[in-house]
Amino acid sequence: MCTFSLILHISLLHLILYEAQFFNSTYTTNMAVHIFGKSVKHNALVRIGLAKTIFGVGYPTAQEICAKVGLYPQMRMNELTEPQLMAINKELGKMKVEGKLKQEILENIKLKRLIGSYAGYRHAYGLPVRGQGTRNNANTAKKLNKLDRRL
Amino acid sequence: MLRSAFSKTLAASRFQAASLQGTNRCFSVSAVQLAKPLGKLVPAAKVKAKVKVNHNKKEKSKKSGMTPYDFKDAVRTLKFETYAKDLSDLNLSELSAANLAELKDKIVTFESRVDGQIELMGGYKKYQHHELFKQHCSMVTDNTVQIHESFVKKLDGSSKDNRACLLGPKGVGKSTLLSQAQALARSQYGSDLVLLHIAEPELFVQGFSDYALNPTLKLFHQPMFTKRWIKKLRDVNEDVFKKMPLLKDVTFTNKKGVHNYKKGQNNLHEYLVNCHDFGIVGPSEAFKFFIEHLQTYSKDFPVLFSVDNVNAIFEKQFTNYFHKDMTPIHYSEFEIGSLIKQLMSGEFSFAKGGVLLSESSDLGQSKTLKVGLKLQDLDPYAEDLDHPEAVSMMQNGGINTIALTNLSKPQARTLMEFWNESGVLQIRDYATKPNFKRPEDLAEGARIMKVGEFVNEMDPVEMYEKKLEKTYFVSGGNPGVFLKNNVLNY
Repeated sequence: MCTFSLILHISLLHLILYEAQFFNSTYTTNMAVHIFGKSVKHNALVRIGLAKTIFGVGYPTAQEICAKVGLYPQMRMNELTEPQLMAINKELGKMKVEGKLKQEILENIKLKRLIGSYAGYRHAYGLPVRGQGTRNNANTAKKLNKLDRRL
Repeated sequence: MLRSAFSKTLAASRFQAASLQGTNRCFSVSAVQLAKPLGKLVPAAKVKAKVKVNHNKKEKSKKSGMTPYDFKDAVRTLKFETYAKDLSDLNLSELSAANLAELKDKIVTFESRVDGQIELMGGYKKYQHHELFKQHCSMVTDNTVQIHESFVKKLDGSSKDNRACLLGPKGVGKSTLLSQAQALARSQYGSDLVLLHIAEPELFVQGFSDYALNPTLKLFHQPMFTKRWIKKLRDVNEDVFKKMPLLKDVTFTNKKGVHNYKKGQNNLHEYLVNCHDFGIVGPSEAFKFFIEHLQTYSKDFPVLFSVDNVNAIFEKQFTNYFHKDMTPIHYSEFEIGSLIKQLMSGEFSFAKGGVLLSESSDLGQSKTLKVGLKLQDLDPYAEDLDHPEAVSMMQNGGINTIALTNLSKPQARTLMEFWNESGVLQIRDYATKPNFKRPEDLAEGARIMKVGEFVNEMDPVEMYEKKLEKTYFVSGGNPGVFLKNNVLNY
């Protein structure tokens, strides 16, 4: 029993060491790069990839993140090292993006409905909220504005 | 009752008739009856298809696609120059400062060693149509003589007093003249000359290199750009760097371990080969150490510092890089940029040497450069101008400008003769015509009009003259346009 546990420990140690060598290596493969739980195309510019993939990150914000982390403007996703990926994740973690942002938007809509505002009524009835006409089209509003609104 | 009895008899008669018909048919097919049983059926044996194997056949090597570029960009990489006509019959002279007067208005090649060095430094640019010729060749024009007189001869003086910028429209030969200046300097000083050339400064301005702040120097270090530049420099200046013993003890680490280089024992070339600190992302003083050595040794070994496409630096006020607080970075905050700025202003100088700049017509016009070169008055209220930068360029006597001139008619004729002899020129009545015809082919009777042929053949000599006149007029003597008009057929 003791021997078995020793073998198990050694094999686990080997596995950790094997993973560690990839952990420190630079990503230069054709595999997608995962940032903030999202996969980004391997050959996309970092600032473009972030803006296109992360909800709540546009081009200026992506550029800001790159400047903070110290990434050069023409850097591509597959050139990111593990510490740089972690730094980007850390910066994104400080910001209100993805789930948190979506939740906030939905809560705001919900509040408008709750207080009985005109915008809330329009949201609930699937009509345009910001004064757009309804004679023709209004398809976006019909598609999105529902009682159980999702983003 | 009667009806049912009748129907029964009818049905019975039909049944009998049907059975009789069956018997009759059975008897009539006698061959089937007389046939002997075959016994157990044996399935036919499978015949294996004979596969012919040719053992002598060689395996096909997979060829990748030729190039992903368009033709105009691809010609640089497809090595078309290997199919060009050998120029050894033409006995072209090599460009040298000693006999420049004799070489005036002639086609010259570069010395093979210098040619390799210029190529390595990126002196031969795309769209210069070098693929047409077996060797890199150029013409010694008035511009060559002028740059020799006004710049190369002054390399014995301080670089502060020897600063020049080449100006001219697209195709006039600014980059070519830069290469000629380097070749002339090399021929004048031999290997005792340091060539520092930046072919594409846009690489460190437009964000293609990584960057890291060096807190001690308060400058941004660009490892990717610097290490590649240093690698080229150490190959180009190998001989002269080997003559430069180190002036300080230096310790550095690379993959092989720790190196302790002693003052006077090791040379600068050894340092550049083994020190990999130029490429590390972090604070390093390797570049400063290298420049200090060049400055000290410039008393004995002149330094020719040249920058092509210099207006790429001043195209915008700031580079594409940002500080951590999202303020843009100025080019002078970079290690290389700072060196360029100091050399351009004369703040930093080599005891012997010169600074040669060249603008690019492919990039936008820079107001800062124009004002800095004193081609335009300084407007203190101008917004699209980097005021401190323009003022710094005007310091210490300012930068001289060399405006390039176009070819004269006799020079154009010489150039065209060379193209004709090197097999580049095609004298045709129109582009799709296979070749011109001899006068005897045009004799009466032998003349057969081809379908679609509507142009009358002319004398090749006359055609040559006509082409020279036409293309010289169209180009106005601009060498780039003159070459395109003569060589490119669409």
